[in-house]
Amino acid sequence: MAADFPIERIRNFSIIAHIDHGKSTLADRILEFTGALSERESEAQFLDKMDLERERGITIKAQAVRLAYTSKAGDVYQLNLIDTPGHVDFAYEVSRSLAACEGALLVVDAAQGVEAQTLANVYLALEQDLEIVPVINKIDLPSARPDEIREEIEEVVGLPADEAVLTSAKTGIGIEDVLEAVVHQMLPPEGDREASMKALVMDSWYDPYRGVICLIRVVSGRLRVREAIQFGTNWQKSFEVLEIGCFTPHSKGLDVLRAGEVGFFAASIKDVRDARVGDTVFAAEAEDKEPLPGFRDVKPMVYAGFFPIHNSGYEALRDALEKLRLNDAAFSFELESSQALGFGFRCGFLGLLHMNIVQERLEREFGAELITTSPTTVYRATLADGAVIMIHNPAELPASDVLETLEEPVVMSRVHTPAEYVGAIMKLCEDRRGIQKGLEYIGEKRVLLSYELPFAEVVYDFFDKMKTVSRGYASLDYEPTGYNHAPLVRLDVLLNGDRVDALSIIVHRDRAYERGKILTQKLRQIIPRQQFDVAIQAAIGAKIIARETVKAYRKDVTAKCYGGDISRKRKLLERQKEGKKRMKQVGAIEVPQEAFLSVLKVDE
Amino acid sequence: MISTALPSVFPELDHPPADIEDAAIYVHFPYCAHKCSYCDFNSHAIAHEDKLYADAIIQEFDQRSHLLPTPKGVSSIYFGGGTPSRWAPSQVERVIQHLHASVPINHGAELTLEVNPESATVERLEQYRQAGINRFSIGCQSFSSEYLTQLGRTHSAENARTVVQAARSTGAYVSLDLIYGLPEQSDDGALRDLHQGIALDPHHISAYTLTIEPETVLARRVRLGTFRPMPDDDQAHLIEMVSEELMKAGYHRYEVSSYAKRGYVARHNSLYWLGGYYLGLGAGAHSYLPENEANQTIVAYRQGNERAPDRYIAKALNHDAIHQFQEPIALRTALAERVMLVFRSAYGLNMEHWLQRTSTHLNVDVFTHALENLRANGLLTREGSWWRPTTKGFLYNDFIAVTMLQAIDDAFVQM
Repeated sequence: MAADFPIERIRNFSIIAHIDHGKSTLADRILEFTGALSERESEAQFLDKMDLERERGITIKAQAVRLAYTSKAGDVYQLNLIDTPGHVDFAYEVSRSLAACEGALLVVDAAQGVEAQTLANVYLALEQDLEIVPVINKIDLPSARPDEIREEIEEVVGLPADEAVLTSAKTGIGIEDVLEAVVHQMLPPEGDREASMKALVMDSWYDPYRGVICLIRVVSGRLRVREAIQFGTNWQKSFEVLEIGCFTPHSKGLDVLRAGEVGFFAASIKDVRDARVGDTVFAAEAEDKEPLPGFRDVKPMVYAGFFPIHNSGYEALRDALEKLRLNDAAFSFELESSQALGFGFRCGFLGLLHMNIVQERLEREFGAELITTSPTTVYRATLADGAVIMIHNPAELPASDVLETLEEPVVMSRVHTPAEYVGAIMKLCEDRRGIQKGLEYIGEKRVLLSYELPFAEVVYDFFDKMKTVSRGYASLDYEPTGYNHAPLVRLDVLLNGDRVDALSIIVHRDRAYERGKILTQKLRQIIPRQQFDVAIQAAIGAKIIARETVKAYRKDVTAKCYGGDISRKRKLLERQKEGKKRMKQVGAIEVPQEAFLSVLKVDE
Repeated sequence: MISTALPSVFPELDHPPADIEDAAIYVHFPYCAHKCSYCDFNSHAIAHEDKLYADAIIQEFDQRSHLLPTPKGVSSIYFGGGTPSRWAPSQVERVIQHLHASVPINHGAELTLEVNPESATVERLEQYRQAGINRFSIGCQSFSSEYLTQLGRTHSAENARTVVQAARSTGAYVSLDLIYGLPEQSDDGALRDLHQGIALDPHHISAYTLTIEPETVLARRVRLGTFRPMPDDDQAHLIEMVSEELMKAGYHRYEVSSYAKRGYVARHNSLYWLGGYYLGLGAGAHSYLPENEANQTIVAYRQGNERAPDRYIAKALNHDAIHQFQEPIALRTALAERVMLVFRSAYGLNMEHWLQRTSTHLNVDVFTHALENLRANGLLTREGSWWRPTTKGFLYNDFIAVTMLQAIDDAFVQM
């Protein structure tokens, strides 16, 4: 067997960048420079695998590429370039990817300077004690102003930027300098290769042929094929490692992964929930089974109903959801039955972006036609008889006479912001029923605000609003901390007197009237005229708090239709028919799909 | 040889034909003195050669007559336009004679000619009558000079009255067209017009609400803001009023916009709504013909002729293919068209006959469920095996059609 690759010649790092500042291009250039990719291959921006990710510029799954780099001094290094997800919904996943690194490249656009989105990940990286190397990219631009940007990095980010590397990923300038900085400025990983094997799961996904693939960073010992392993959160099961490898970026088989290295293994694991992000992998026979710090059992925090537009789409939707769940431990679903919408699924997500991604994948990859109901957080209800139930669906909230208390989930949120936006952000948090838990200056220009916030107030548009009031510079992360009592009520919507269960929402009592009013107005615009008047009412219990009416249309008829008109007429009516298919029949009323999400958009 | 007999009385509404096996021929005469503001038909305001156009029609007929199945003969011929009342009666006669000589035209067949009041005289109508025409459909549109001007018609109200009376005096059946629901038209204004029409005692009245078709003079004026069409809700009110008034006067509403005294329904038009085959001759004319090739999926096809009259004539005389488009009609589409059209007429659908022909292709329960829903909405009624539109069903007829198109989608069994 070949000798171990020395741990001190390994560098594990990630790239932090604003969306357009050239992260993917820089990564591609690094891959090219080290000979991992041909120029032709790199045009595809190799690290972002899914279409959706490339379109949105968001990386959902972590990736890791192993590269061989020979430094100017002639030493051969193993570089593991780790790509991370990039959205607040996936903050935990980011933190696990960063936990596998010792350093990070901070890419800043030489013309645009430090952008807000960058900061959130810089803060996460700083929390993991990563060595951060600033890279000023796009220096080929006529508007490049590297000196000012250097100052900006020092002021806004609080990092020394004297030795920032200047690059143009587009033209290939400075790529070698970047790699030199990686090997000289960043530290090698630490880890005892003679100790028993322990590794961090950075990500896991389902492969139809090989079962779950775990992307890991080995922390101590060596992982070998045929070895039995266990996961820290599940002592019941052990698995035999069948395959080990790394990405170069093409998948490449290996015999062993040693402490300090990043790679993957497969072990006939059938369910991604058995290999969760952040979990620790142990050698089954190891005595030391102290898990690595930082594991969080990521649970869905936002629930929404997904219904097929046509009842006939139910089976296909279930199959599609099952396929998606194979690959996504944070996503859950179970059967839901709605009076208005028939059979569908109540699905759980980390947040709204996660929900949108799942929804788009269902539509795009599986051709599903969906009606989505308003997302909701999970409420905790205590009944008069002492029973405690979790409410994933507003329609299931018991009547007030059997309800003892109702609690809503709260999160501890941390907002990093340049000092000038502190006032605006505090106001936003207080408008959203936030309770301030801390205000800390980091240096002169940065502030860390901590607020306890009802999660329901965060989930919809808090992030967008925060970005608006801080011109994009503030960053947000949050973690659930428990439940608080709150005066919450269920707001129902009635169409011609019948409650439409799929439109119910749970709201704070003080907001109920306003929400009811806006919601009925919104629905009046969305619901088309029918052959009869449609009364739209918002109600709390038996009490009507708002009402709107969609007046009936009085005719729908073509005056003339003779032999020469039939073809054209049929095509016209066929188009109307297709339009109607997008509607859901609720009782006698035709309700467009978007009505069920209108609850979400009351702020527009 | 030419019969001048009147059309036979069409079966009473209570016993309409379950299936149309009669065939019809449509002859389009594309020329007009000028174009009316609401018209989107194939009409050309240019000089024409009466004889040449008749030659072309005859040539086309000889080329295509074998396509029209006539197991029960031809029961109607319809001269539409354009302004066929500008076509020399001698040429109309030539065409009718030629058709008579070539296909079995039933005794008592309906031979209709559309008449524009501005181009008709007693003598001329008498000549058409002698040529075999036994029904005149007169485009009066209105008896008010104000409304006629809005519609871009050049005849006068007096003109219209005279022509209707002249047509009656020939002994032929008379239908007149009325348009109502014009901008700012009051209830009284619409009723006055209607009563003047009723006073002429025609056998049949087609009363249409004004519809702004795209690519018409009116559509352009609407875009420019110089013509403000009556809102739909107001038109709906007038529709209810006009249909009640006509029924009071003894006219039976047998289609969305068609009213007839007992026995005088338009056979030709009814054939469209009941799904019969027709051969369309002339520039821009449409045909609906069965597919005779042994073909699993295509049951019929629809053709549209070359629209430009000059090119049409040239092609017909050169024995070139005349159609500009041809649309194969799959079984599923044929069924969709049937249910889309059949509820325009008061005859409605006879489920027993319908199922005999379609039960292997349609899931009966799913299809019946759609009908039941329409009945629950008050749009259809059911008497025995007949499903028929209600008065409300006439008002929401497109809704019925869309619902039934959907029903075919849901119920169709892929073989």
